[in-house]
Amino acid sequence: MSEMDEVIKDFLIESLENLDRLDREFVELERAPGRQDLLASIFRAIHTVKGTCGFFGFSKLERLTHAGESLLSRLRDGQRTMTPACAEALLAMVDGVRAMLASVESRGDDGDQEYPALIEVLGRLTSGEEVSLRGTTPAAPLALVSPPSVVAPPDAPAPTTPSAPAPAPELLLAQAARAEEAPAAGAETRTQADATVRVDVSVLDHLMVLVGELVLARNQALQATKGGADGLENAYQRIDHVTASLQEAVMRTRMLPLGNLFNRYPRVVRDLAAQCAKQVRLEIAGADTGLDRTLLEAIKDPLTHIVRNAIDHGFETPAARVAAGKPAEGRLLLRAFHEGGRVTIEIADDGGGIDVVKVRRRAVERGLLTEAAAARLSDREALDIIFMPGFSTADNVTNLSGRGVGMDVVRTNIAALGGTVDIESTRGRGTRLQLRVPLTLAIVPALIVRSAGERFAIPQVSVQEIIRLTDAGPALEMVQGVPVYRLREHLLPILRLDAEFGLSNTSDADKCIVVLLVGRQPFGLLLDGVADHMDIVVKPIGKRLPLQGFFSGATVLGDGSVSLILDVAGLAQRAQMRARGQDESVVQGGVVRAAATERIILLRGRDDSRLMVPLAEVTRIEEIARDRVERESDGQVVQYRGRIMPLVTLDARAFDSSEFDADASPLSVLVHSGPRGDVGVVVAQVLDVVDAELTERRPANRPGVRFSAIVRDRVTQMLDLREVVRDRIPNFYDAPAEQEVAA
Amino acid sequence: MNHSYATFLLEDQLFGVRVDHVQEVLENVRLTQVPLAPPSVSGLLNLRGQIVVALDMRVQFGRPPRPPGAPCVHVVVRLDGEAVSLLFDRVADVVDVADGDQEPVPPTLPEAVKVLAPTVVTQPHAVLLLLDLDRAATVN
Repeated sequence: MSEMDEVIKDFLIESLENLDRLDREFVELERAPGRQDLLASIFRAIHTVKGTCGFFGFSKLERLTHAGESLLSRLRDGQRTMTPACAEALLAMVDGVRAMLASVESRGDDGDQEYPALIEVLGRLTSGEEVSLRGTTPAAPLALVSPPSVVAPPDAPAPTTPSAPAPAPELLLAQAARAEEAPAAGAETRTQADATVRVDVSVLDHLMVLVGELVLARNQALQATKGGADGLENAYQRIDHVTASLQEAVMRTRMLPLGNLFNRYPRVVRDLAAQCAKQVRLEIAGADTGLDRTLLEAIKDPLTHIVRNAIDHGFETPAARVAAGKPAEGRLLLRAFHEGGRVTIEIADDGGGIDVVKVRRRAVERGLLTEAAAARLSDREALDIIFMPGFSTADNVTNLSGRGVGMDVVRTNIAALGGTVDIESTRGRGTRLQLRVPLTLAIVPALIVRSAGERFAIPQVSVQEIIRLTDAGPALEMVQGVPVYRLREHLLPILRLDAEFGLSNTSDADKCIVVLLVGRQPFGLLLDGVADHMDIVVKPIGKRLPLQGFFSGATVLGDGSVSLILDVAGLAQRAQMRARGQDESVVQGGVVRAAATERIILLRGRDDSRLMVPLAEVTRIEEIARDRVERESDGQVVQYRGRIMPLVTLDARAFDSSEFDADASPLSVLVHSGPRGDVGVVVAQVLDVVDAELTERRPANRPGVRFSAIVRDRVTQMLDLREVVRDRIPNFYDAPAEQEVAA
Repeated sequence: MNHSYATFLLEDQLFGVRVDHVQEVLENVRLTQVPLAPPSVSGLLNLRGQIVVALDMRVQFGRPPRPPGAPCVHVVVRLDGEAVSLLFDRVADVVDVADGDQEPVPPTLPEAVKVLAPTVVTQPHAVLLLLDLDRAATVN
């Protein structure tokens, strides 16, 4: 790299940093137009960019920054007042400068875009006119905070930059008015830029490798001290001390204040709120909380998604807020703090909160849960539904969110970092999300476990508890060839690590279960034993070895041997995929189950066999006198609530013997509803309605049955009501044609 | 132009790797198995704190895998800044090869050989296959 490239690189780094800060300062300035310190700081930043790009010969970039600088100098000297139009144009200028800098970085020049329209608008603003970049005149009330506006010609130049759309005028008015009441808001001093040293990441990475080595040396020394030599023990203590300090010091150099990330949000919030016609004030706290730069980068997307969601769905419209007795302007809090060796990032809004009733309904509509399962969830559990794949409560898919991808991805991404996402929401009061992530990913506390003579590392963040299987305690149980364990009244699914990995395990050592939690579903990993706890240095395995989602890396143990680190999320997915495979027959039947238990109707079948149907699929259970059954050309019907209800017998499929003419007792009928009306399913006998755990299922081998499961110690067949009904009435589930409805 | 090649044996076949590509040659290395990995992956080794993948050249060249415990040498090569270990049976001599002596492998050789060692050098007593390192170190 030539010396010139080096200088340009420095210029880019510095300019981009300045621009990020500018976004925030502009938004602050819009609220408090009189803040001289902000104006001066913005002016300096733009002035620096302009001066440097002139030096490099980036003439287009220079022209644009020059136009912006002229307007800024007027503003700074008090010869012009900050107005929304100014802010709009200046923000568009920042976007333009950013695009040009990106071009400088990728192709070495300042690009083809010249932004003539933007430069013209900036010029006219500088000379005191009031023109909006969008070609629309700010509404009259703005006169409160701006000099009398000059009406812009209707054919005012269209924006040439991807500028932010103009916010609703009343929004800005309210903001400006409020900002005048409290001009000091957001006036924290910004010394971070002065106090930090810029270090090349590769240098830091190297330091990190060295520290890793030191940690390993410490582990090796520890191994040797177990032999019992005194000198070694002292040496070990020294290494231990140095390692710990060095590790922490180096970690600190890798840390960046979360403010670096938070700085982008004032602009994001401002633009999004304007798009949604909402009023939102962003408050930031704990911006100096440090976080490893890799993690900072990794939480960027999830955090942005949550902020978008909050503005799009969380906050009510200003009118609705006032009607609910809240201030028209919503408050979004972004807060970070250290807690228990981890960083917590909190995103709290004072919006409408999440409607758990709606969440439940939506989950049922989307086929994520059965009605019965949704009804059984506590409100807290129902909130967790928003993390399920394919869920969205937005009534309309908007520009911003509601496409049904989102919170599940947020949770998955955070879990992949060894973090968690929690949500709390109070209807009418607001929603609070908490992301908890580790401080660093490079050195993590881990459990070293043994299986089939091999050792593996498991990051401790995923470990809930360790259970030793003893002869005295409860043992593993096999259900349909699949191991499970009773853990405090719940069945814990078990993965055998040796079997998963195809290792032949000859060891009859003490077995133990490590209970792991990823997302909501805990699962147990059956192993030979736990060998050790230690801080491990996570090392990459290299690009050449595909890891297939079982390992997240490798580490070196105290004896110098390599040990693979298990990817807990990947294993969990494997366990879940297996469970899903078993449920396939049910999914095809049109019901997706998520909860462990289901309320079912138990029926007596032919030859005293047992049948069941989900209660959720049955509208009512009726007894109907046999003499009410009438004949139509294609089968039996009955008059039911003023309509003609066709009857279907299970007998037709020889599931039971419920012939119409058998005896005089009334018929047991399950009323089942479809879009065209009801159908009565005649059954021999209703035995009971029970809650059953249908976890062990055997796929069915005859039509009309979904699967078999054990209910009350009896093998019971789950009927496919749809199949049975379609047999008699093929179009029962089709949407009614229009003329049929009219008739 | 002449280049020096380090040569290694798989059974009685000679393979050549440019000397300046060889970082080091190791023996008696403890390997950690990688469950569910492709058969050509013999395991992982700790090279002064760096994790290195060891690839069984027997499998890469379409032969049956090396039985556990059979003697072998780790030829550690550096590719794209990453170390990879290629497992051969034995170390042989270093030889000088003139560029003009190289020729394509005969088309009748097995496909794996044509892909992983596309050029050949005929020597008085043996035929030396020159490895395309990038392909030879790719896990299939």
